Amino acid sequence: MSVTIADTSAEQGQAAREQAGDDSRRRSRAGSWLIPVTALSIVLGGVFALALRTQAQIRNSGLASGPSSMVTRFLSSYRTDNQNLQEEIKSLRQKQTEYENAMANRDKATAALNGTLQNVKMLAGLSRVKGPGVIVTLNDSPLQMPGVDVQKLIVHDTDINRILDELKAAGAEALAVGGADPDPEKLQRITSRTTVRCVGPSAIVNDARLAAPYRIYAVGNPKELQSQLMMPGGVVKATGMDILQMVSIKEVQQMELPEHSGRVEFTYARPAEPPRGQ
Amino acid sequence: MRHARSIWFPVAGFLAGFGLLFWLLPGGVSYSASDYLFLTVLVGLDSVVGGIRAGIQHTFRAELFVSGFLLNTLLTISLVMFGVYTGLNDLYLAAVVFLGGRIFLNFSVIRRHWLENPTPRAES
Repeated sequence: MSVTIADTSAEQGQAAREQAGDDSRRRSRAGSWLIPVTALSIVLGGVFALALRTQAQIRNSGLASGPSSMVTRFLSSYRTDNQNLQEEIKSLRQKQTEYENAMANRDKATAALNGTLQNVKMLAGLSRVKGPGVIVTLNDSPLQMPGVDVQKLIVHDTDINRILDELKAAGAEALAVGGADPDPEKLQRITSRTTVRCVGPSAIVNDARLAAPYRIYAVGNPKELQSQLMMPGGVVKATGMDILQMVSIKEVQQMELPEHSGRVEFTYARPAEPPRGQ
Repeated sequence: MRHARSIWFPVAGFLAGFGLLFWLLPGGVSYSASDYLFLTVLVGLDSVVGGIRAGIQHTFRAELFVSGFLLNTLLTISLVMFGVYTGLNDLYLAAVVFLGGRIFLNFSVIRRHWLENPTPRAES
C-alpha cells in the first residue's frame, strides 16, 4: 500500500467533508485522541526505560544477551548447586566414617570388619587421608621458543595421566589433582573410575573443570616419588617438561587429601559369588 | 490548526515516561522478559503513531486504539512464544517487519500532514 500525496490529500478532503457534514458528536471526538495517545506514550517510555535498564544489567553482569544468557544463568546456578551438593556428600561421608568407627567400639568382630572397611574406603578414595608425599605442579611453559610446536609447550591430559601413572608406579598410595584454585578442599581425588581429559583449555577431572596450573598431590615416600618422576627416560625427562620449565616437584612431610566428592554408583557391575569347588 | 502542534504531546510524554522510570526505578525485570518488553514497545509505538495519524485525519476512535494496542501486544507475544516453543525462533521477525513497516507508513502520512500545515501559529 503506497500513500501518495494525492491519496493523503484526498483522504483528508473526505475527512474534512465528513466532519463538516456530520453531527457535532464527531467533531467533539476529533480532539480526544490526544489524551489516550499521550497516556500510552508515557507508559511506553517507561516500559522502554525498563527494557533498556534490564539490557544494561545483562551487559554489566557479563552475560551474553540473547537466548544464551538464560543458559548461562542456569549453568551458573547449577554449578553452585553442584558445588553445594559435593560439599554435602563430603560431610555425609565423614559422618559415615565416624559412625562406622563408633560401631567398631562394640566388639572385636565389628572392629576387624571396620578396619577392613576403612582400608577399602581409603583405597577407593572415599575417606580423607593424610601423610607425607610430593606436590607436582604442571604449568604451561613460560619460555618463548620460536620453531617449537606450541602444542608441546602446554600441559595436556596425557601429561597429567602419565605423571599419575608414574606416581602410582612409584608407590603413591593416594592421589589427587587440583587446578588453579589453591583451596585444598577443591582437590579431586583419583579413584579407580577417575578420568583426566582435556576439554578446550581446561581439564575435566571427576566432572570438575580445572585450569592450569595443575597440582598433583601424591601421598607416599617423598624421596622415592620424586626420584622416580625425574629418572632418566622417565616421564618428565622424556617429554622435556623440566627443560621447558613446565614442572616443579615439592616434597611435603604432611599433607591432607579430601575424599572423593562425586557419586559412587554401579549400573552394570554386581558383586559376584566366588567360583565353586575351590 | 492545533493538531500540528499537539503532535508533540505524545513525543514529550514518551520522553517523560522514559526519564521518570529510568532515573527513579533502581532495578530491571527478569532477563527473559526484556525481549518481550521491547516487542511491547514496538507494538505501542505502532499504536501511538497510528493514533496520531488517525487524530490528525479526524478518524480517531478510542475503542479501536485501545483494543488495537492490547490485542496486538497479545498476538505479538503469543507469536513469539509460539516461535520459541516450536523452535521457529525467527517468527518474531514477522511482527517486527510488519509493525516497523506500518510505523514508517503512518509516520510518512503524519509528516505530509505536518509539512502541508507548516505554521501552526499563523493558522491558529
